Formats: sequence, structure tokens, C-alpha cells
Amino acid sequence: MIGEVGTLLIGLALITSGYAVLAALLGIIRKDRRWTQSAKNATYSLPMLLGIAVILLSIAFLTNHFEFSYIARNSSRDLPIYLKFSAVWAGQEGSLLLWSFLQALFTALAIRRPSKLTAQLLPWAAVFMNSITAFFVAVTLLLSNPFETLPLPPADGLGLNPLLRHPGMIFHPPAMYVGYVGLAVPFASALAALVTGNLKHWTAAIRSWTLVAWIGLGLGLLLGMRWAYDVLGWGGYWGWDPVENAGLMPWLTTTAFLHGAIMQDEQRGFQIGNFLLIIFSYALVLFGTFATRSGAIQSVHAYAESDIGIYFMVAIVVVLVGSLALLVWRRARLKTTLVQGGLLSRSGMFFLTLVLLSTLTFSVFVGSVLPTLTDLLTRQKFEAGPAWFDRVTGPQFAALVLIMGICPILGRSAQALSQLKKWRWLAVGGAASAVILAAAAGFTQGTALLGFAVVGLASATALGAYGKGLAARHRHTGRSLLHTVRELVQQQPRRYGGYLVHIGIIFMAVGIIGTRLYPFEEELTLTVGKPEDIRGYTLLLEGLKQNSENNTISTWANIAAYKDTQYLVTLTPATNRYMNFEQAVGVPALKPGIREDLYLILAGWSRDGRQATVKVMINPLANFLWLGGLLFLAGGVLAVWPKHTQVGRKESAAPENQQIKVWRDINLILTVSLFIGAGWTMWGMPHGTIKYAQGRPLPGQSAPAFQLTLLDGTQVSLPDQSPQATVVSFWAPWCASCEEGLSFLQSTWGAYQDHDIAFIGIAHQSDRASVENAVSRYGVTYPVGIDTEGSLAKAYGITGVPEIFILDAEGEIAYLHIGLPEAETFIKELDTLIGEPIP
Amino acid sequence: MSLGTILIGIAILLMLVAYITQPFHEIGTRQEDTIEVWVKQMREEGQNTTHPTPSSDIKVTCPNCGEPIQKGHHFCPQCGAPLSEGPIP
Repeated sequence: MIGEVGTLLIGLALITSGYAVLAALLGIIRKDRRWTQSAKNATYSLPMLLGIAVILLSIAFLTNHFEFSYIARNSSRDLPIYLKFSAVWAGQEGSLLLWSFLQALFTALAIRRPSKLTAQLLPWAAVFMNSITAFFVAVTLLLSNPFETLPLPPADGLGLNPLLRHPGMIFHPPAMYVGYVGLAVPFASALAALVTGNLKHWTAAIRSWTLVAWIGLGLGLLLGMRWAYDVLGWGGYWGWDPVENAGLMPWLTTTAFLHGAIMQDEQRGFQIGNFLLIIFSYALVLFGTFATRSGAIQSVHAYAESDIGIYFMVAIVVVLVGSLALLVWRRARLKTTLVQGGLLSRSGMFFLTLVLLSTLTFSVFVGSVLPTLTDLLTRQKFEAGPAWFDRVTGPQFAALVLIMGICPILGRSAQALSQLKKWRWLAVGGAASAVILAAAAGFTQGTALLGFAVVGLASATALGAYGKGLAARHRHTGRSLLHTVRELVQQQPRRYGGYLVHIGIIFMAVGIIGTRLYPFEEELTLTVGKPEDIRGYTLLLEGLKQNSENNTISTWANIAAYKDTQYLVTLTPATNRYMNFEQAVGVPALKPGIREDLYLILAGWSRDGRQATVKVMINPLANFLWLGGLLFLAGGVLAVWPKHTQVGRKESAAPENQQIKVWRDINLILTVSLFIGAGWTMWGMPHGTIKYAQGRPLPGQSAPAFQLTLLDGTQVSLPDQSPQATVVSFWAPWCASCEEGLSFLQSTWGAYQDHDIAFIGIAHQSDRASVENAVSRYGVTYPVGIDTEGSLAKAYGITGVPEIFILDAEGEIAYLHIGLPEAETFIKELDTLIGEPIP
Repeated sequence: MSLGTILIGIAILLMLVAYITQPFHEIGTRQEDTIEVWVKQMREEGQNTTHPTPSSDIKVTCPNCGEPIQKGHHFCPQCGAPLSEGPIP
């Protein structure tokens, strides 16, 4: 029944959206309010119909309706609830349905409360938005209906693609969709402005929608980057994958549009540019969809190859040809892009920003399309790898940051040059101090220093310019600095939000310089109990573990990491093998730090579990990227924050104002907690790590001192009168391999008793009776005591039994063994310490 | 297809058609829809509430940096220079 009702709902949505387009057109042509109202009602009913369809699909997922082919391919009974829910958008059919729903919802929201500015655009904007809805609903219904049933329903589904089994699946795709779909509103409004000839105010009318879409895209990209970094196990966050690029390009053009819109609002031209940017933004959204769904472009994101690509190709052509034709038709009434006051002025800098963002987009586009295109045309594949992209886009991004640094000091006056002179020492100082700081921290590559100089300049001028305004106002009002900040931000959330975005970008630039120019990657084979040094870290493999459940075999290595002999954390890189998919997915372990992240990937292991090969990556300054990302999002949120001009003035004047205030506070609390949550997931939550109170002392370090009461009541203490060798062995009567160890140690003790050597057995987590029982059973004669409070185990950082530490005459650790040592090795080590080989 | 499915389908269809065609089958002229009533309402609203000045349209520029500023500011938000008009608290 779910399937039939679901299909019916989508079918009705298709008819309704078609009707909405026609009715809106009739309303415009006949100037009949009834038709317009009917179109409005149709538009409002669309999100209802599609929303119920989405809910039905979710219910079908949660209740394991495997008779639907889509659910059988993307879910299984053992899938956790949150993944079942997010599997709704895991494949093409469901994601198109969600897309259609969001498109309908945004359309309804956009036409619900028209402001004075949007009212004139609305009827036409509704026509265009509903046409887009109709297109997506038609593709969903006719080409990829998620409610399509299988003739023979399977007992269990195939399960979700292993790469998608991650909490990131809940947030990353919907955020991207909000961005993609949100761009339809400004695009439709731009077309409406062209048709109706209201060419002046459309940018202001749709600013909030553009910002929402832009934040959605930015958030989606950031989440995707972080997801890739946390799980995908290649140590990076951005691989210039065609689908990543498909998300980045509309973000770049929308960023350019937001800047162009400011210029248009200040009446400095830019009109044609703005139209072009918003048209291309939406065309790029469609291109992204085409790229993911056509199978034409190779990518980790690519959905199974399907035949809907061609329809999106047609849509792109229609969008481009149609909108550009409208633009040409209206060309006479559009102001050309003017750069008043030369390049070295505010509008000049904005113009350069637009140009750079456009060339960046074009570069990314060329890099994404060229491999496929050259393959088609010449049968020779042109590879645009990450290095190509870094080389081409790096300088352009740097130039953008530089402009960001120059722009705030130019101000809006005509005397840009004199302004520049006034600020030059600050700019130079900022650049110089950033270079010195970076060089002192060890980043001495020429390109990196150049990058840091730009970053330093931009941050100095930004802080200088904002600080100056703040200080002046603070002086004049005499209020506290904090109050002044709040006042400024409240009065001009857009401007200060924009500044915060810029600061976030500067932070991100630092992270990008560090991670892109100083990548460190090396494969290392570790043996249990043998510490290995790598780039200032010491890694000690404790052992390999394996676990199997739900058709998945997880294998992970426990690796204690030390920095400068200080225990940091125990990292647990893992590999999950999904039997249903015959696919192995690496789950890296990550220890974040301010200067650099230590990042381990489990690459392989030996059959006996004594050796593991790990890929060690050290990513310098990676956290600046994430911190910058959060600042950048906070700035975006600030910029769309509802302005409360009236409420602030007349505090608590009317009950409605009170209510607005309450809502505002709830909003604020929600947003702040969201950001705290994001921060916690990045830095608070362990990413494949276990933190023990203490690590093991490494060879060369002095052994922790202790006093132990032996079974016979006497005391033994360490450091003792320092025999040539001391064997400290942790064991337990409940552990199978320890029994073997007891007899082995006892026989060694028997052979070495006469030498200057001491043995201490420490029973871990055991009661006296069973210890005494084991000691008498194996005839142990060396001193044995019980670690009743577990303090010794903690001091020696053991993670299991048996573990054996061998100390030299200085009381330093000479050797350590996790698990039982081989007899030969053990005896050789003792002999080395006492300095005389036993015949 | 079960009877229940068909009934649900018909119910959805009826509600949808009724809602969309609602503007056409309003019997007579509903009072609040006639243009006269709209105009009257708007007039009343205009009397009761003070018109907020479209502040974004009236722009002053800062004598120091040339930044366009909304009226009512005592200091330039860009450079912080005090603006002569209006008393400084």
C-alpha cells in the first residue's frame, strides 16, 4: 500500500506542479487574481504531497520493506536506525525525491510572505520555480521512482554502501541539497527580474535566500571535507574529485554573486555580471547533478550509471540558452560593469574579486571536464590530478586573500592611495611577523612563506580596520568594549558577518598552506613491543584485534603514540571488511594537535598478529582549516540573522516583541549549541583513539619506582640496590598464556639465580588464593606480589597480561615485551645485560 | 490494489482539487476579498501605525571616509569618525 500511495503522491505532485505553472501564467496574462491564488494554493500543496511521500519512504525504510528495489539495494535489517533513516537519500531515487520535496518547500516558503521588493517579481518567479519542481518531480516519477517494487521481495536487503555508514551521512547530503535547491530561488527571481524588467532591486530581494543557499553549500562542503578526513582513510580532506568540484563551483560563483550584489546595492553597476553569475550558479548545480548521476564522470560519489544524465544535459542547455537569451533581450536596460575610480578602489577590488572567482570556477571546471572530454575526442586521457589543481588554483586563491587584505583599508573614499599609504606599515608589519612566526615554527619553504605573508597582511589589515572603528566608537560612547562589539554587530550583522567570514577564510588559508605544502606520508611496519621513531613521534604496536559481527569483520591495531618520549594517546586505526559488498573500508585514527595532526591508516598485518603495516601521515596546521571553517559558518549565520531594528529599541514594549525576543534567544541558544557540538565532534570526540592514564615507559626511560608486598609478607622496592638486570613481569592466574609464562620464567630464574639478577612477578587483578594456588602449582620460587590497587599496572601503562619489562643496572627500561617473549630472544637480552654468555 | 489504498487515493485527490480550485468557487463576493475592503484596511493600518521611514533610502556619507551611512548613526561604522549631525550622548 505504501508504494501505491507513494507513487500516487508523486504523480499528483507532477500534475499539480504543471498546473501551478499554467495557473500562474494565466493569472499573469489575464490579470485574474483567482488564477494567481489558485497557483499559490497549488504551490502550497506541493510540499505537502512530496513531504508525505518522503515520510512514507522513511517509514518503508524503517520497517524494512524490501519489496521496494531502492530499499533492498540501500538498506538491510541490521542497519542502525539512524542509517536506515539517512539511507533515504543514499541513492539516486531517494535523493531525487528529497530534492523535489525541498524544491517544492523552498518555492512555497519563497512565495508565502513577499516583501515589497519581491512582490513584483513573484508571479514570474513562481512560474520558474514551479517549472523546476515539475522537472525534478517528472524525473523522479518517470525515471527513478523510489517506490518501484521487485517481483520477488528478498528476505533482507543488500545493506548500505559501506562508505556511507557514518554519522556524516545524516548532515552532509541534506546540507548540500539545501544549497543546491536554495539556489533555485535567486535563479528564478533573476529570470523574473529579466522578464518583468524590474532590474534594480532583485539582488536585494533575494539576498537572504542566496545567503541560505550559500551557507548550505559551504556547510555541506565543510562537512564533506571533514567526513573524508575522518573516515575515508586517505589522509586528505579535498581530492579535487569531480563531484567535490561540482559542489565547489556553484559555491564560488555564489560567493562572487554575493559580492556583486553588494556593488549593485551601492549602485556601482555590476548588473550584467550579477545576472551571469546567478545563471551560471544554477547551471553549475544542474551540472553537478548531471556529473553524479550520468556515470559520465568517475568519482567516489558517482551513483550507479543511469540514463537520466541526458535529461539533465538538456536541462542545462535549456537553462543556459533561455536565460542568456533573456539577458540579451534586456541588454539595453542593463548597466554595464563599471569600475569607478580605477582598480585601486573599492569597486575595483570587488571587480577583481569577481574576476578571480570566475577564473577559479573556470579552472576547476576545465580540470573536472577535460579528462572526460579528451578521452572522448582523442582517446588520450588528460589527467588533471590534485597536483594540477593545486598548481592552477593555489595562486588564484592567494590573490583572493590578498584582495581581502587590501580591501578593508581602502575604505570607500576616493583617496584610495592615501589610505593605502596610511596603512602600509601595518600591512608590511603583519606580513613580516607572519613570515617570521612561520619560519620560527619550521615552515621555511618559499611558497609557504609567500602564502603566510599574504595571510599575515590580510589578518593585520582586517583586524586593524575593524579595530579602528571599534576603538573610535568605544571612545565616543564610553561604553565597554564588549558592549560596543555587540552594538556594532547588532546594527550591521551583514557587514560584521562578512568580516567574520573573511577571518574564517584567512584561518582556512593557514590550514591549506600547512596541509598542501608540508604533507608527510610514510609506510611503517611495526612489530608488537618494538617502538619505532618517526618524525619526532614514537609508535609502539601493542597488538592487533579482530571482531566480527553483522557480516562485517573489523581488524584494528592498538598503537601507543609518544611525542618526545611523552605518552600521547593510543591510536586504533582499523579496517572493516564488509562481506556483502566484498569491500574493505579503512577507518583511520587521528590525534589532532595545534601544530599538526598525527594520522594513522592500517594498511596491512601479518597472519600471526605480531606485525602491522601502517601509513603514517602528519598533517601540519590541519586544525586551522576546521577552526576557520567554523568561523566562516558563524559569519554566514550572523549575516542571515534576522535583523531586529525595532525590537532592540523598544525593549519589551509589546507582548509580541517579548515573543520575538524569546524566539531570538531560542535561536541563539540553538545556534551556539550547534557550533559547540560541531567543535566537540571535531576536537572533543576521540577519532579512533583510546587515552590511557599512562603509557608504558619506553626503552631508555627510567622505570617507575614502586614498593610491593610479596606473598610471604616481605617488601620489595624498586629501584633496588640495582642488580645488573631486573625482570618485572605482569601476569594473572586467569590468563592462559601466563601459565606458560610462569613455567618459562621459573626455569629461567632457576638458571640465572646465581647471577646479579632480580625477578619480580606482579599479579594483576587477581585474588590472593588463586595467585597462591598458581604459584605452588608451577613451583615459582622468585618473588611474587599482588598489585591489589592496580597502581603498578597503571604506572607501567600495561594494557594486558603477560607483559615483561627488563631493567638494566641504572634502573632504566632495557627491553619490553607485550605478550610472552620468545625464549631465545629473552635469554639473549638477559645475557647482554649481565655481560656473560651462559654455555 | 486494496480498497483502503483506493479510498486513501480518492481522499487525497479530493482534498487537493478542493484546495486548488478554492479561489474559483467562492460563492458571491466574500467581504474581506473585495478591493474596497482591502483599501480600507490598508488605510486603517496606515493611521494606526507610524510609517517607518525607509531608512535605507536616505543616505548620509561619512565626511572622513566617504562611507554611505544610514541616518541616525552618531559614528561612522567604517572608520569610527563622529558624525556632526545629531547630538552626541
